[in-house]
Amino acid sequence: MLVDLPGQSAEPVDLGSLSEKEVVKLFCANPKEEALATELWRRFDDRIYKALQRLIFRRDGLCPDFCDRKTFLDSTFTRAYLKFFGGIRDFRGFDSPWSLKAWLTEVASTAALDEWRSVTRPKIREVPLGDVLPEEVGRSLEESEAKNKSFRSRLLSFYGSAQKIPPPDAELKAGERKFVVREALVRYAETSQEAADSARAIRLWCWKNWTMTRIAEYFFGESATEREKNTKLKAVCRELASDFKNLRVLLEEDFGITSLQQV
Amino acid sequence: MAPRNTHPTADLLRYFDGTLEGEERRVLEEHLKTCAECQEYLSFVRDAKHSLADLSEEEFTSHEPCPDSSTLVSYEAGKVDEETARHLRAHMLFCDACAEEYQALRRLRPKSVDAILRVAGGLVEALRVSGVAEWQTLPAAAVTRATKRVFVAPFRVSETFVDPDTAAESTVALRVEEDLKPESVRVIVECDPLPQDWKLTLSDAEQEELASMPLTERYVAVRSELAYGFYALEILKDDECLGRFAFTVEPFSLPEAIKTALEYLRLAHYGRAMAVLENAAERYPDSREVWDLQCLARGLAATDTEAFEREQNELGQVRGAADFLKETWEVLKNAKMRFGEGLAYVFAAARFDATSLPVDALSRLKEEKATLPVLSALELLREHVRGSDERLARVLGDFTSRLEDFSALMKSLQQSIDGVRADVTKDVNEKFGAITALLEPIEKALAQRGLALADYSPLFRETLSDAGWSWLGPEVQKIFVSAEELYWYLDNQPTAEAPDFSPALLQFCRGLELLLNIKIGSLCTYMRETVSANDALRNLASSQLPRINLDMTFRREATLSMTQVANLLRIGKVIQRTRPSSFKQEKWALLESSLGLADVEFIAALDLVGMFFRNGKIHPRAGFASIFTTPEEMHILRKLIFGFDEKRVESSRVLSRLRNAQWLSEAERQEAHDKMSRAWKTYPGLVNILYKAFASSLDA
Repeated sequence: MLVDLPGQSAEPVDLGSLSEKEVVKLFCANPKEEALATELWRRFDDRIYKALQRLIFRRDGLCPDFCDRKTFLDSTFTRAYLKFFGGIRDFRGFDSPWSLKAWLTEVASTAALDEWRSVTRPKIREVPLGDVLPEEVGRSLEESEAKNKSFRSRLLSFYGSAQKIPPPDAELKAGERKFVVREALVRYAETSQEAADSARAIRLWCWKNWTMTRIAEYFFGESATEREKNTKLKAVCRELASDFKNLRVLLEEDFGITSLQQV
Repeated sequence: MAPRNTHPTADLLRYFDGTLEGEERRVLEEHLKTCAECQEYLSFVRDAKHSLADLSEEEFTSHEPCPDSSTLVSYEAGKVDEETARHLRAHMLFCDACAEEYQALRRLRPKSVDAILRVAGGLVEALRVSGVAEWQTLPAAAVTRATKRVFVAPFRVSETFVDPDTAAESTVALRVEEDLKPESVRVIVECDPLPQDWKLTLSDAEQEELASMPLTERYVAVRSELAYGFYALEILKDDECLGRFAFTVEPFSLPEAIKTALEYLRLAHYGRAMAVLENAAERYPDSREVWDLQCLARGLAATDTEAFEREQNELGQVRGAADFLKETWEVLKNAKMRFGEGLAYVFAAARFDATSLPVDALSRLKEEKATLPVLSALELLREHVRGSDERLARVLGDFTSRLEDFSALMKSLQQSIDGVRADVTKDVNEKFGAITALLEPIEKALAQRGLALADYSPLFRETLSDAGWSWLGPEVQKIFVSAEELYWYLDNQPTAEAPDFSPALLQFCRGLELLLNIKIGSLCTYMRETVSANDALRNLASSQLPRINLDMTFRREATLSMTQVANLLRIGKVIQRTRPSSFKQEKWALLESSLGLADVEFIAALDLVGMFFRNGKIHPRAGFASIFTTPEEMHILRKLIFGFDEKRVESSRVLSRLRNAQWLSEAERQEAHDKMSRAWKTYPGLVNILYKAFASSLDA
C-alpha cells in the first residue's frame, strides 16, 4: 500500500516493503495516520490473537470458570488492541525476536488480566494510571519499565509506625500478639516470592482455615493420582514446617519475642 | 541419599492439620511424648495459628488500591524493581483477589524442575531436586568390564506438561547417565504419550544451544559426552516453552563422597559406596579417609555377602567373585603402599584372609589415631560380625568405643559453650575469647582419646587453589579443617538429635577472625591509631558514619574482632576518599590496588558474619531459640566465608538481613543488597576475596 507522508518523504511510501521497526517509527511520527495504524495492526494482530487464545483456552487459562471463553477472548482482543497502540511507541526491542515476543505476550497477558478484573471485580480500585504512566516517549526501556511498574503498599511494615512494638520478652497482652504475628508475617513475605508464598499459605491455613490438601492444590494445581497428591501435600508441609521455624526466629530477632503465650 | 531431617516438623504440621494417620501418627505421638523441642514447636504453631485466627476480617484484608494489571504482569515476569516487589508481596498477603490473579498468571508459566546431581563411577545421585517432580536413581544394568565400569545407575526425573492448543498431557522424563568418556554424561528424554509437534532444546550455562530436535519418538538420545556443568533442557511447542529441566552435574566433593559412602554402607549398598569411593580416590588420591573407607567397604561387602549379592543382582552386575577379589587386593595393596598397615587396612584385609589379623599388631594399632569416618565404618563391621565372630567384635569394640568418647567430648564442648553463652558478666568479645580457649585444644583432646581429624584440606584447595590454601598459613588451615570436620560430624547426626551446629560455626568464625588479624590486622591497627589520635579525622568519621560506635571500634584489645575490622575498613575508605593524604601511601596501597576489600559488599558480608554469627550465637538475649545454629545457617555461613554452596543456598535471608542492617547507611544497604543479589550465585566467599585482594596487590 502506498501512503503519502508529508514532511517524511517526498514520494509515497510503500508500507508493504518496510520492516516492522520502520513501520513503528513512521507510526510514532504520524500517530494519526490511519493507514499506518492499519498496517501496524495487520503485522501484529495474528500473533496477539494466537497468544490470547493460548492464554485463555488452556485448562488453567486466564479466564474465569463462569465465562464463555470465546466471548472473553473477543473482549480481551479489543483491550489488547488498545494496549498495543498504547505501548508500541515505548517498545525498543525490535532487534530481538525474543524481546518482541515477550512484549507481545505481556500485552496479551495484561489485556486478559484487565478483562478478568472487569468481570470478577468491577469495583476494583487501582493505583491511578496517571501516577505510573511514562510521561514521554524516548526514555530507555528499562527506565520507562521501572517507572511504569512502581507500586507502594501501605501494608508494608505498618505495625512499626502504627503501634508500639512490645519490649523484648515482655509478656504479650491479650489481643496484642495477633498484630505482632501479622507484622512478622508481612516482614517475612516481603523478603522473596518463596517467602511470600509461604506467608500466604500460613494465612490460608491459619486464618481462612484451609486444609493442607487444599493449599497444596492451590499452589501446585490438581493432582492426577493419589501418589502425586500425597507428594504435593508433603512438599507443602515440609515448606510450612520450615517457614514456622523462620517465623519464630524472625519474631525473636525483630521483636525480641520468644513466646507467643499471652497474659 | 535420603535427606536428613532434624525433628519431624513436617509430620507435626500434618498431625496438627489432621492429615497424619495410621502408623505415622502413632510414631509421631510416641516421639512427641519425649521430645521437648517438638512439643515447644507444636505449641508455637498452635499459638501462631490462634493469633492469626483472632484477626478480624477488617484486620487481615486489604483496603488499599490494588496494583494495575500491567504491574502484576511485570512482577510475575520478574521485571519490577525490588522495592516494588516487596510492596507487592505485602499487598498480596492481604489481598486475595490480587493473589489469585498472580497465581493464575503463574500457572501459565512453564513448569521448571531444578536438580543438583553428583556423579561417581556410573552412579548419578541427586543432591537436591526442586518442586514436586518425581525422581529416582535407577537401578540399571549396563556392564562394561573393559572400562572397569561396574554398573550404570542413571538419574531420572519426570514432569507432566500440557499442550497449550490441544490440552493433551504428556509426561516427559529427563534421564542423565554417566558416559564412557571420563567426566561426561549422556542426556536422554523419554515421553509418554508421544506429543504432537513438540520439540526440545538443550543449552549450556552460556545459553548456547547444544541440541535441538523434534520429539518424534518416545525415547530420544539428546546428547552424549556432555561435560560436567550446568544445562537447561526445554520442551517447546511453536517456540513457546512448555517446561524446563535445569540440572547441574558435578562430581562428589571429598566430604560429600565420604558422607554418601557411609550412608550407603549403613544401607548395605556396598556397590554404590565403592563406586563413590573409587571415584573419590581418583579425584583425591592423597586422602587417607577415602582409601581407608575403600578397604572397609570391600571388607563389609565380603562380610555381608547376602546383601552384596542382592545389590549386585538389583544393579544387574555380572562380575564374578574372582574379579571382586582381584580388585580388592589391588585396593588393599595400594592403600598399604600409600599409608602403611593402618587400622582400616588390617581389619579389611582380615576379612579376606583369616590369618592376617595379627594379634601382635593390635597393640600397635591401639596407638594409632583414627578418624570418625573410619571408626563409623568399623562400627558397621562390628555390627555385622557380632554373633558370628565374637572375638573380632570385641576387638573392634575396643576401637569403636572411641566414637562414644568423641560424642562425650562434643557434648562437653557444647555444655561449656552454653556455659559461656549464659555468662552475664562477660561482654561479647570476652565470650568469644573464652570460646576460642575451648575450641583451641580440641585437636589435642581428640588425640588423647585416640581420635584424629579427617583431612578435608583438598576441599579447601579446590576452592582456594593450592597457593591460596598455603597463603592461609598452618594455624588458620588447622582451624578451618577442624571446623569442616565438626560441621560434617554434626550433619551426620541421627535425625532425632537435632544438633546445634554452633561449635562448627564458631570454629569457622575463629578461623576467619584469626586470618583477618594476621593479614590485615596491622593495616587496621594503623588506621585505628591514626584516626583515633587525630580529632579532625575522628570527627570526620563520626559525621560521615554516624551509625558506627567509634569507642567500641577504637577499643584496644589483643586482637581485632570482625566487626572492628569491618568498621575500620569503612572508616579508612571514607577518610581516604575525603582526605586522600591522611594515610601513608604504603598502608593504603593494599586497599587501593586490591579489588574488593574496601567494597561495601565485602564489608557488609563481614559485618553479617560478625554480627549475626560470631556475636549472635554467643551473646543472645535470654531464652532465644535462635542461639542454636541450624543446618541452613551453617550453609549460609560456609557460603559467606568460603563460597561453598552444595545446597544452592537461597539468598533471601542474607539479602533481607542486609536490607535491615541498621549499622549501614541507607545508600550502603541498598548498594550492598543490589551487589550481593547480583553476585550471589557465584559468590566466592570472604576468604577468596581476601586472598585475591592480596594476590592482586602483590601483582600491582
